[in-house]
Amino acid sequence: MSEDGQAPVAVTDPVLRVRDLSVRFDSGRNVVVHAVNSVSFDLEASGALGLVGESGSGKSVTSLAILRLLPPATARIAAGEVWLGDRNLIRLSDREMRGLRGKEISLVPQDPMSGLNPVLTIGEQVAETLRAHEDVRWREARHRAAELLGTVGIPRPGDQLKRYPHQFSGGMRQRVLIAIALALRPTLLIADEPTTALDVTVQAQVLELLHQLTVERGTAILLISHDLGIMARMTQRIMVMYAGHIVESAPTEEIFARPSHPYTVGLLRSIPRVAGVGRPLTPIAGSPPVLDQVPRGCPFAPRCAWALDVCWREMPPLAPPDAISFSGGPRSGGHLLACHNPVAADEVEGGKPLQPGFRPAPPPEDGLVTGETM
Amino acid sequence: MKQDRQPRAAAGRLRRMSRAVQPFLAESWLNGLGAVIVVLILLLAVFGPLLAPQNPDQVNLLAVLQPPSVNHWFGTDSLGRDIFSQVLAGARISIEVAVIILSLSVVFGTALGIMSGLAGGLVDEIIMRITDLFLAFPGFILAAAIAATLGPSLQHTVLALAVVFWPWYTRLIRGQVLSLREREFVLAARVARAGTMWIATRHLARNVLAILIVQVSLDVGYAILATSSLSFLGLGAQPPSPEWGALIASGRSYIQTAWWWTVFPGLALALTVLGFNLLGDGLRDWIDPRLRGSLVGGVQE
Amino acid sequence: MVTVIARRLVFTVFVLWGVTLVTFFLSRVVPGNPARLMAGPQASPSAIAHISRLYGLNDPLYVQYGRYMRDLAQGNLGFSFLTRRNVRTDIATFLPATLELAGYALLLGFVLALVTGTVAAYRRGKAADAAGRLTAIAGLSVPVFWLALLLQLLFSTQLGWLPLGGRLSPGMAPPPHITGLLTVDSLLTGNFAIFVNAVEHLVLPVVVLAAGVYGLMVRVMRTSVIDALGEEYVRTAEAKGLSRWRVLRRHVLRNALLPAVTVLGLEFGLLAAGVFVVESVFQWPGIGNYAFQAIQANDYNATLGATLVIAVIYVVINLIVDIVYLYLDPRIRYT
Repeated sequence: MSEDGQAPVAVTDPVLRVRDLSVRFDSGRNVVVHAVNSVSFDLEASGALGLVGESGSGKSVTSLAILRLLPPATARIAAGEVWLGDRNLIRLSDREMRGLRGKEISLVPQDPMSGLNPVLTIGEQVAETLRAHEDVRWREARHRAAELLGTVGIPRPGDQLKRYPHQFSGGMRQRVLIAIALALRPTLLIADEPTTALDVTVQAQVLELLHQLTVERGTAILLISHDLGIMARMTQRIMVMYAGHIVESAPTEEIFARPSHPYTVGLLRSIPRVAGVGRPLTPIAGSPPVLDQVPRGCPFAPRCAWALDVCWREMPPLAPPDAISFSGGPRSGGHLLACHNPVAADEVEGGKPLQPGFRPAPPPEDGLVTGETM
Repeated sequence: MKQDRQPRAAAGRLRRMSRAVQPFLAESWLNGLGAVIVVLILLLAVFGPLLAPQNPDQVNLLAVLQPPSVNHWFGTDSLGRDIFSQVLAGARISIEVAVIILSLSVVFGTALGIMSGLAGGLVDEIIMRITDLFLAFPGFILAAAIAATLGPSLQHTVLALAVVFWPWYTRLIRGQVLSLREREFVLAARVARAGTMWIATRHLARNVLAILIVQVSLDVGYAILATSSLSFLGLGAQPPSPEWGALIASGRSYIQTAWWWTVFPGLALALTVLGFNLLGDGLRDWIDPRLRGSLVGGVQE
Repeated sequence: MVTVIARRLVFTVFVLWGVTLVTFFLSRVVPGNPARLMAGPQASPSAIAHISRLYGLNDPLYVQYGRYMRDLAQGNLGFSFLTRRNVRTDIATFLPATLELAGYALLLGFVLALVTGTVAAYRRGKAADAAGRLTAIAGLSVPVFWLALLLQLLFSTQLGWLPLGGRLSPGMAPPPHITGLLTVDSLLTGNFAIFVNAVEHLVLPVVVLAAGVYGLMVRVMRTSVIDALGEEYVRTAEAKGLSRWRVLRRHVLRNALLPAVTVLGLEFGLLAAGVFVVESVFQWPGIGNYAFQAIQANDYNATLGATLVIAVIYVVINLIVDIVYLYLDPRIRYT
């Protein structure tokens, strides 16, 4: 955003535009799980966007929905559009999507332990990606595979081609998966918990590699994790997800400096910090929501220390916060919030409301849910 | 008082069990089908003699090789005997045979398995080697060889099959004992000393029982099938026994002129085994995930 | 991996020894006089005494066992009363027929189970899945001998589409003996007419045997395909943009077939049992029929020789299956 009033520099179109995406799961016996609810966001070309939330928040489902890899028997995209450039991915046929996967959009999956096929050599698995989209012979594909393995920092890649996944450490396997994902220079990379299964020391290396490679190639990256810590270095913007909703979305520095949603505050405070050894961790009270019922109001209300009556009745919209109702530093225009009673700047440190005598509003007597299952 | 708590506890357990049956039946219609067939066969086996229209041994030379009719639902054989009555009598034999075979093998196999699992060391090693030896033999061949050696008869077949079945139970129970031994004794050590053996046995028994029930229900079908197969080969029940395998063997010579002699006993046999297999299969699918849950949970229900 | 194989080999040797012990035990320790049983019910006392001497049945058991083992080591399985030939010769004659029958049954059952199991896994919870489960259990439940009789009645007697029994129609000369497998031999020597005839005779017995093979294998296939589908690498493969067929072939099936291999041993047990009755019903000149007739005639040497051979084959096949499995899984091959 330009500061001196001049016309803004021409911004390239976002590479990914998600609009009102909603995903439902049919888990038998007429139970419908609302995994993702009306999620919208943009990802700039060469940008880095973080999506953070606990398990069950819908972040992985969102990424699978973008790739159209949801299990067809149980999941469906109930609404929304996903624009990759000028194509709506929701409308594409299976065949067209397959042409895009691995080439324009690719995925670095969660678990390096099971993310690679144990009965194929890693050379075969890397070369497979190349052969799926380009007409290359095995020999050339293997040659390129060795090069790719080199770029992700695997030593003596030519020798490693013939080895099997179980002969590698977790960190190495994750590098292989990154090599596979970046093999065809995609415009968008989705990294789903890329470091969760790794040792702390290896985590930093892998993240650094990912950062370096995506910046080098100008690949846009959507980084998904429950760990806010890894987002700090990697992302320009962070979205916080809860119960399938985006509850806060802001540039990375602001999420850390000026978190405004009670859930975000909770997340930040529950990260163990080396400097804070000896201080008690503050977990977020309560447990993740059951997603098969549609709550009338904000899904976080049962666990929220700032809850008002209105929070139980009305879902707050995701919108730029009302600047007046806050004290403490300005926010940039890019900060979006879905909250009726945001956290004030001075309340962030303590992690609870400072208003004397404030008690979070109790649940209303006439029930929490709308009774809808659709 | 402890006395009047017991009937209430028993009633509670009964209610819990019947509540457990519902979801099992609802899981798949195949489960219900299996259950229905099994109950039907058991009823027929128990009440067979009362329901049979005629005495299965009743020879009637005036009605030889009659096709199915109102008088003889399944027709008659070469001596005029009513096949329907024979099939009913055969049901009783099959169930009896299965009960005996499984009782013998379960009791013997389980005892050995528990002993092997709890004792460990050399005793365990020896028992397991012998068990593995028996398991390495193709079961049916072993049973046939034993039955042939002892002399063809139903009793010998039953004995032979018990010899074939017991190693499976030993291995199964030993496995359970081994995996539970770690858990329960550690747990029990924390609980009041006096209850150690009692708690260990109770929890052992509960988990083992579920797996045992599944295995037995699957094996009933195989036991009946194996007995009939051996009888068909002439190694088991001898004609004029109404045992299903023997009936089919007798009817074989007349299959072109009196197909009912072979078809109906075989149908009864197939349906019975199918019923038990469906039931056992359904039980296994249903109990398995629950079992995993209770094992992980440890002490609680 | 080498240590695992070595241990397995040692155990197999132990089992094979146990097999000889059991068969010996069965042959000698019987109620009644083995000599009398061998001689037959009408034999005179002197004939019985003669047989006792001839076969050394009066000697102490351990001596008899030693002789038995020595004979075995030389490949001598005794003399068959029924066929008036060495048991060894008999078995060599009849074994190929059984191998041909069992081989095709295994192939057919396996292929059907592969297809059905995979479809059931992909359409889990739907009608196709329940149908798969029902056919699987039906395959295991239906009595083999009854099914054999029924199919014979229907397709042979009533409809006349397929022959009643035997390996070839009477009047049809067998092809030159290369492997003993009629289908293979006839193709190798270019006798197409014989090939067709042999196949016609194979259809019914193979279908009957395959039912059991199918029943056992299809549930295992279904479970292992479901397991494989749940693994992360399938998602990785899909995310690469691979076609569904390629994902199935290279990723799902390659992994799902591994557990299926372990069931092969059990399959042979099933086949061993089924072969007895199927060969009897279809008059198939194989080991099962040979053993069955030997049992009926109280031909001890033949019965036990056949039992021993079948048991040994079973044990050896189990060993091979185990070793192959170890080899197929790279995680075990390169530890």
